[in-house]
Amino acid sequence: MRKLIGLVFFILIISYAIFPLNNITLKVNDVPYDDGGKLVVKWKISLDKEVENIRISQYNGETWTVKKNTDNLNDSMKDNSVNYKQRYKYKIEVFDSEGNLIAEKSSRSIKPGVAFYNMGKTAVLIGLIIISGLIMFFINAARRGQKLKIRRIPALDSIEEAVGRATEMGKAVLFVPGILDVNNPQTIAGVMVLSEVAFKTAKYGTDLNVPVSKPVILSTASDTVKESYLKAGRPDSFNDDMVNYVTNDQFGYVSHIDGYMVREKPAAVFMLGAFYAESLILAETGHSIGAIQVAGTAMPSQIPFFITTCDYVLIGEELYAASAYLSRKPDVLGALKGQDYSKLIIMIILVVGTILTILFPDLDLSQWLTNIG
Amino acid sequence: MNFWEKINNLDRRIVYLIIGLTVLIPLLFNIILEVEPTKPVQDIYDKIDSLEKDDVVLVSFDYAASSLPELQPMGEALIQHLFEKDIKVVAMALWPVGVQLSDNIFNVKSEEYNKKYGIDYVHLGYKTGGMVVIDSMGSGIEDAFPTDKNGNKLNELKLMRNVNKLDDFALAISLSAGDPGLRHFVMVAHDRYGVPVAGGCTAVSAPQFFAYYSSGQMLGLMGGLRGAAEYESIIEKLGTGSAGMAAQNYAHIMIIIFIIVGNISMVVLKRKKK
Amino acid sequence: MFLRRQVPFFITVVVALIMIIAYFTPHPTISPVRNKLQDWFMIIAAFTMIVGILSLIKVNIKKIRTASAGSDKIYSLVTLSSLFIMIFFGLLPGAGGINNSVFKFMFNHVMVPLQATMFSLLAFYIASASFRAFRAKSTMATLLLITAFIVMLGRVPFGRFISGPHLSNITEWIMNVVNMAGQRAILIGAALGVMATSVKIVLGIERSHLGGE
Repeated sequence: MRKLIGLVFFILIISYAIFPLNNITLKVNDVPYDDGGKLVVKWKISLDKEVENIRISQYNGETWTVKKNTDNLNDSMKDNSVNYKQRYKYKIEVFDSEGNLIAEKSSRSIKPGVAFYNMGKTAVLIGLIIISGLIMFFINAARRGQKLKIRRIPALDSIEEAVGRATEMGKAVLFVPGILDVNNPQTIAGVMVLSEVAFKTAKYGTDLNVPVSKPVILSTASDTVKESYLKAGRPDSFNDDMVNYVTNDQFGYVSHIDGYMVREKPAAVFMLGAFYAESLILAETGHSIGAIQVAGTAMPSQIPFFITTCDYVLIGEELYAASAYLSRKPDVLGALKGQDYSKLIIMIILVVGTILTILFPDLDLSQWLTNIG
Repeated sequence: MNFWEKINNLDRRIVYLIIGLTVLIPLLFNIILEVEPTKPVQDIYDKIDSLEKDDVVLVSFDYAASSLPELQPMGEALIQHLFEKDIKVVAMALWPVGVQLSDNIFNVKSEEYNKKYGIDYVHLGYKTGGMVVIDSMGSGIEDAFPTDKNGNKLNELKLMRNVNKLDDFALAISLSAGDPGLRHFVMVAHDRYGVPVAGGCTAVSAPQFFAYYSSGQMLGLMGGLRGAAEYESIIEKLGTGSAGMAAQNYAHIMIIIFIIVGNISMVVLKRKKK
Repeated sequence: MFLRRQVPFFITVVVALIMIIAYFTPHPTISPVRNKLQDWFMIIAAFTMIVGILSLIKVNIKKIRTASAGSDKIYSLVTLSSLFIMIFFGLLPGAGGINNSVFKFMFNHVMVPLQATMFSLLAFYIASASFRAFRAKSTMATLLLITAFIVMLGRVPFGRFISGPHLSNITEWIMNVVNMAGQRAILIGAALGVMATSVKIVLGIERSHLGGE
């Protein structure tokens, strides 16, 4: 009999341990690889009473602050109001429909950790080192005298033809460096080509008009054109009005250029830089006046518009390659070669990754790569 | 010049006139066409539907009046859905005109749903700097926006008391016509700070943003007027997006007719030359 | 020359290194520096708007003064008067700033329709560009033409009307597979170009943003 009672008690105790009737689990963890400004609070509640509201509060050593009210029994929250210099504690309070406190639990005190290096960015760091390394390697190789070939880019070869046409017709050349500011690489690439176009217009004595949409580009483009005219031996032909600021507004800028095109009918139109919706408006107007049009942008959505309306188009990277192609400077050619090798590595990774994913789907390669950063 | 030669060299002004009438007539007669929602748009709806009342959503109005016909209906439908679900909204703009355009939405919707400024929604206003603004919000929203657009300090607004950094938002939505915009929210808010990002964009940019949706960097995308119309049909409140779909529908058909006629004239003239 | 070339180059290198390190290091010693640089960027960006306004005023006053400007004089007068009227009503004390009724009226009834009109030109230009460009002159051009038809019909209700869900499904496949591959290729290429340009700027090889060679 005693043995039977003992066995019943033992079974009850074990059952309670395995299947608790009332249980609150509260865990507070530090978010890894951050600046010590985040903690994650997780809770799991299992009560035999009906739960109306769950309140999570934070204690920072001085006061308790309510952080969240919810009715999710099994959830988590991220607390961004913490500081790596202090310790924090959390408390969870469970209320029924009448507002009575039916359960509560406090966590241990925790101090958010600070990391020196974010391991989650490892893949980015590796990519940065490889790509920058390749670019710098080939720049050095070019400086040491290695000959680097670059394929023909018809759009850039057509600059001479376009400027020549404008000279023959006695009309101006219009250069549009895009709609974004000088901090955008496409604008910088466009300004590089502008220096070449300005050199040719200086040489042939053709009028050049460069309307810009941002004041900072005004000074950059103006200096670029001035220097090209100086290099061509025609500093007296340069005038300040060649590069003119229009407006920051996208469509105000487009209206100005369209109006200029329709009134002055430039014979050659260059559109090189970053463009948005205005690309088709500009290109169609240029086509309607019969101008020879050379365009280039790395905006994927605008490339098709340029291709259908312009005579020559620099697609994507060809715009960035323009400075290397035109100047033929070893440094710049080296950087271009480094870029191409980086692309080759990416292509190899893509092909190998695709084959491995097809052959071994259980490896879950994409998730593994995502997890390393 | 015979008929097909005339067609081949058709004056563009005739094309413009026909397209103009094709777009104008359905709008004048207020023809509304409902569209079937697609998964990218449904995903945005499902995410907002899964949010709790305490969650705060960031909506960035990154467009100018030129993209109003495509993006304003998206904004209206989104704010309507968020207000219906009693989800708190923090608005901002990376384009200056976005502030006024979003005000036009909030003035109407806040009255319709009886939402109080400072409690149910806050407008941070416009800040220049693009991606830098979003990154700055990552370390602290007050770093980028010390006050809201009306000059109120953020800690004086009840809604902002538990919203200190970018990753306090349950969702960031950017209605974007270009740069700065959705691309920067994906790069910074999602990739750097882990905030779920959804967006709306003009139809011309939609193909490139689908790449981000497909890789999981964006949880949903509304592309162009169609995206707006789809969202309106999901929330069952047809508006300007659905009204515009009729005009778009007929315009597409007209362009196809132009292309077919152009090709027929090209073939006929080619055969004639032979 | 030292102020125009060497100093900006030095600033570029230092700031670039700080921002790169800050990207990989979450430690609180570096984040205040990064935050300060970001604040400075936002302040400078705001001031470029002022530079823009001053440039606009300068350029248009010059046009008004120049006798040979012709009809450009009237456009410049309109530009300047619009600018000053909007600024006046926007800054009018006690009137609610940009919330005042006159400013809002001008915004909603002048600026919005003007901007929307310019964008709407695209509808016409797309029609004329399509009419001219979509010709089946070769196999690839024919393929492009057929794809354009499918996508144009698949994206509007008429497509569902004539084919049920099929055109829509084919359109989705074209957008998610074929188009996606092309977009990703261009995005990756452009991103590499941006990276190479950035490396060149940091190394001082690319100096066109400083004005010429």
